[in-house]
Amino acid sequence: MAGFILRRLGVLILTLFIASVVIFALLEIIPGDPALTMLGINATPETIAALRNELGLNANALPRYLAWISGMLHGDFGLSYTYRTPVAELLAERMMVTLPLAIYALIFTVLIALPFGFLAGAREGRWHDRIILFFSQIGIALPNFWFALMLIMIFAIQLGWVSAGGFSGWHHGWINGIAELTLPAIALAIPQATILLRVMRSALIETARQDYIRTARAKGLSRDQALWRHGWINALIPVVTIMGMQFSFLIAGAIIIENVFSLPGLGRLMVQAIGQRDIILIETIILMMVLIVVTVTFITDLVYAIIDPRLRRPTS
Amino acid sequence: MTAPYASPPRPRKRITGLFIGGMIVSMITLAGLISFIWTPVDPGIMDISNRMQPPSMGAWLGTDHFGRDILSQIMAATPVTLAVAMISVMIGIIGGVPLGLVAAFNHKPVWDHVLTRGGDVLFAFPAVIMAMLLTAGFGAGISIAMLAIGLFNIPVFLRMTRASAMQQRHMTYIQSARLAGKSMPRIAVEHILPNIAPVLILQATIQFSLAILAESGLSYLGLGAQPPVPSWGRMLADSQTMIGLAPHMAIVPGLTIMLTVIGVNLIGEGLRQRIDPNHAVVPAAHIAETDIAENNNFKNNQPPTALITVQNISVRRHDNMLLSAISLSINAGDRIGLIGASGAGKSVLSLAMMGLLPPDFHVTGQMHIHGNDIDLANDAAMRDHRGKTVAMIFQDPRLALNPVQGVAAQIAEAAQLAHGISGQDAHHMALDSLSRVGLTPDIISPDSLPDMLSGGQCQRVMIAMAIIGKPQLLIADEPTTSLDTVTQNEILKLLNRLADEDNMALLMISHDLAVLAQMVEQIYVMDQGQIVDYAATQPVNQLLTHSVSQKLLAATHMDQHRPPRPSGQNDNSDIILSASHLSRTYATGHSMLGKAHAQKPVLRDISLTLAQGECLGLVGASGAGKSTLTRLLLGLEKPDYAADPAMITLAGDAVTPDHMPPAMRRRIQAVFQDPYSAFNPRHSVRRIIAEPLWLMPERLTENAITDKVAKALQSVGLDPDMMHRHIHAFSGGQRQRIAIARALITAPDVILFDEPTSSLDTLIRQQILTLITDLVAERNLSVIFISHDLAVIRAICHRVMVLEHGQCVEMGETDAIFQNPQHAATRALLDAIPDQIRTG
Repeated sequence: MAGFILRRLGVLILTLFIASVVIFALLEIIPGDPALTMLGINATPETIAALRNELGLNANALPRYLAWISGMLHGDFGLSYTYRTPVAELLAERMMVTLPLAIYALIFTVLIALPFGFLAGAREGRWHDRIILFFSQIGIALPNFWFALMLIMIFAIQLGWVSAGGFSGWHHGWINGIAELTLPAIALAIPQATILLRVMRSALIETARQDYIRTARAKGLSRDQALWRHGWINALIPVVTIMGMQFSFLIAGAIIIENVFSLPGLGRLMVQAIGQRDIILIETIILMMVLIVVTVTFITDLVYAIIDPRLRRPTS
Repeated sequence: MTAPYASPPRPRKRITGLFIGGMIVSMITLAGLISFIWTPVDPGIMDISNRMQPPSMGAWLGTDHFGRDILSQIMAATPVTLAVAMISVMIGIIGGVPLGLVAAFNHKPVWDHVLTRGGDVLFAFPAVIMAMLLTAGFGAGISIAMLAIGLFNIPVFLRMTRASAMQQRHMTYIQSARLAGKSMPRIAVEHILPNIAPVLILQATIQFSLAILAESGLSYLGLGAQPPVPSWGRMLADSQTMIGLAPHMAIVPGLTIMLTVIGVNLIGEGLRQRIDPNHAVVPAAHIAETDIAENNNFKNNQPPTALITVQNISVRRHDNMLLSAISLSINAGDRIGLIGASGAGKSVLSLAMMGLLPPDFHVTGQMHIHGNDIDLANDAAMRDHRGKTVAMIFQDPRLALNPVQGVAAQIAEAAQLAHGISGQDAHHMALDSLSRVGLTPDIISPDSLPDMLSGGQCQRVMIAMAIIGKPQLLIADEPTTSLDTVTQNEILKLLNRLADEDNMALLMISHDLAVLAQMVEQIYVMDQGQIVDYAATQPVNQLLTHSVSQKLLAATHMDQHRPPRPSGQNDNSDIILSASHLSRTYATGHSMLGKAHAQKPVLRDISLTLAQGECLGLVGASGAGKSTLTRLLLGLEKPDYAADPAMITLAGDAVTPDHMPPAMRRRIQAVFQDPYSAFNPRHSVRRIIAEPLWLMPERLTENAITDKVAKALQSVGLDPDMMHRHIHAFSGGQRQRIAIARALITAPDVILFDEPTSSLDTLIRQQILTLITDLVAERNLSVIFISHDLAVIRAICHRVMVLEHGQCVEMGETDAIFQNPQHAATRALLDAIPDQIRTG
């Protein structure tokens, strides 16, 4: 098991390293002079030279890259060009919106997908299955930001139950925070939940065809009992794979949803940073997002090993 | 009765999701195309006085905050969205598919690792994040959005292609293509790509709808289409601030996106149902209903004390009658055999008796247990008896156990269900039961997972599970068919002993009369869903009179049918194939960069010779190294480098996997075990048989090829007209004949038969063996025949080589080995032959 974790950690670090090179190259090397990118074509040569000095852009690419990475490893993420505050502080603050939102949405996703997917799979072809499939067909086709607009239209404008967006922060109490994140989390979760639901359904149907389910019934279990005791844990293996990928889609989706609901998260910061061409901020936010994505992949691999004891063996 | 290869009746046409999806997508595409020449109003024209108008006769879908016509804007945006989706999917396919093929097929594992890791890195940038990165570096625009979505599609297609190609790679037909002299890249394009294309097309529809959603999201954020290019996503962004005043501005574009995506998804799903083998219609034996009445010979004389009686059980699936009016009765302690060819309905009957048929099987008739009527339609009625009165074990024990649960826990669950005892007690009971079947803790740990056990051990676990509820009847459905003969013998002895000790009735199902005859006291013979013969006293095999029984009986008498021994056998000039010092080691694990770090020897220092016209048998239990030796001899794999250099010569020339010229390749061909994976399912029989002709020095005309294929088909006893059919229309025996025809077409000197009959039932096995020996005699072929079954080997081979754990433990003349076996492994194999055959 230790070897397994170490190998996966190695993959994680390698992926992060390559991603950081890609990000750096795409933002600071290939487009040309970052100072020019930041200030636009109307800037005078003097202003550009001043910015180049300030940002240390006169050095070669390699030392600049190394300085960026080693700074981050020491907790120094640099200063945001527009906000004039340490990037680390900005990120920490914004992360406290994006991560809870994505996790909240993941909880919704799982709570919807697993029970309904199980029900549809266990009753394949019957009316429960047909109704669930019909709604999942619609759910998969929902653009999450449009669904968010519809939710605002109904619950904020028509019914007036909630505000149309904004986030007053965790210092007003976590209940208040969760309440404000509920609508965005639902908007984010529904389309992903319907995808996961279908994965759960077909995995369960596939499992139900396996010989060991027949064996379990030959012991005297009913079909539902056999699926419950022997089926779902085996069906969970493909479900976990998709769930791991979905968390990265939830993070990516949060970028859009934060903009619909005007939530002060990483995504909104990102869109603003792009508008202001704050390259230092952009680089770091994207690397943070990649970090979240690969960390979740890593956790997914660990969850695998928990579900499937075959993976826990030293060498196979 | 219709021919076995007749195609099943076509299902009635009805309106499918595929049709609806196709309609939606074509209408949207059409609207997009029309927008190039006509829209109701110019989508760019503003009319401030008519802004934010709800849908009306003048503007069908209303107007926006500048008074622009929404319908016209939506039409004008359609081509943009569809083009972005299409191009981004193309980027994914063009980038991902070739890389996936390289990852799967390059023989250097390092490429696989590099490409997979590279895919993982790309995969860590979801389209939105990639789009932001590219926009920050190069500015916003529709082509940036397209590129970002396309880049994300590359690892998706790479993974998909690699995974499906890996699956195909192990199919026997890939080996056959290599025997036909084709290179790996050529095989990838000719065989693999067409077979994985359906999966890729399906993935393309999924990525297409995801791309539509991603593009609209990016345009909403301002990262996609820039004004004045119209876009569904940007229309939604504009609508957000007016959502209270003009809800239609938000509703209409959103519904358009949804409708498009639903349309594409319906197409994808329709395609999937056509591709998915689980939805394919399986042709089954078709029985006329009029036959039912005549078939009640065995039902009227059942004693009322019977343990279990079955009366007039019929099973139907859709329009196929699988069983018609079966009646039989089992008393306490009976030993009953049920025999018939594959497809006779044996398993259907046993599953019907257990109440375990899948839901689309319709059962009628009566069943009584201890005189109590069992309601066949009610699962709960039979459930009380499962595991307690009647237990069952199955054909493939490895698949019959839950792969993620320890074996003792699975047995304990059965104990709890049968006896209603605590978990602790059940665990102790499970350990006792494991000891009874010979799996004491010193042999396997009770916590072992099924994949750590051998097939025979898994079947023992299944037996331990079945007997724990003290059932009065154990149904064993081909319990040893997937096991080698030595293990088969041990399992049969175990079942016998347990049945004696527990006074348990046995219902043994088999296609092999020789196996049954030594186990049971009564035999029912089944054919096409009916019981056609019955014998109740020993020796049962002499009392069976029906023509079907006679055929099954004949199949057990494995007559000697050896081709004539070539003359001048001791003269070395006659040696056609010789091999010396062959060893092979496999790596069992890889480090991150693909370096092997564990080695497992499977073949150690094997040497052999084969004379012209000789038939050499290679025998050994599973895992003895037989198949590895085949691949080395065929030049498909390289032997290890060793102190004594390995050497294979074919008619005097050295065989090397790196360079096997066509002139040499065509002199040695092979027939493999599994007739179901041995052919490319997309090719016609003619193309399959003709493939090795590529190795011939001269290019043949189409007519000459047809002629050769026809002759080959005739020589294996098939109708030449069959060459235009596809392979799925043929039965297992016919497929094996086709495989032999393919091996013959280049007129080789040597043919390797790798267990060619072990997945066929006994009747067909006999026919194929006869065919092989006739061909050998007729064409003076030299043959290496591999089997785990000594009875088959004795019937046709002149000399035998016995393999155990990769080593040759005994070699000599067939008769000498049978009369005076020297090695323990040989004796175990001999013991495993059912008595009836050994004595004659």
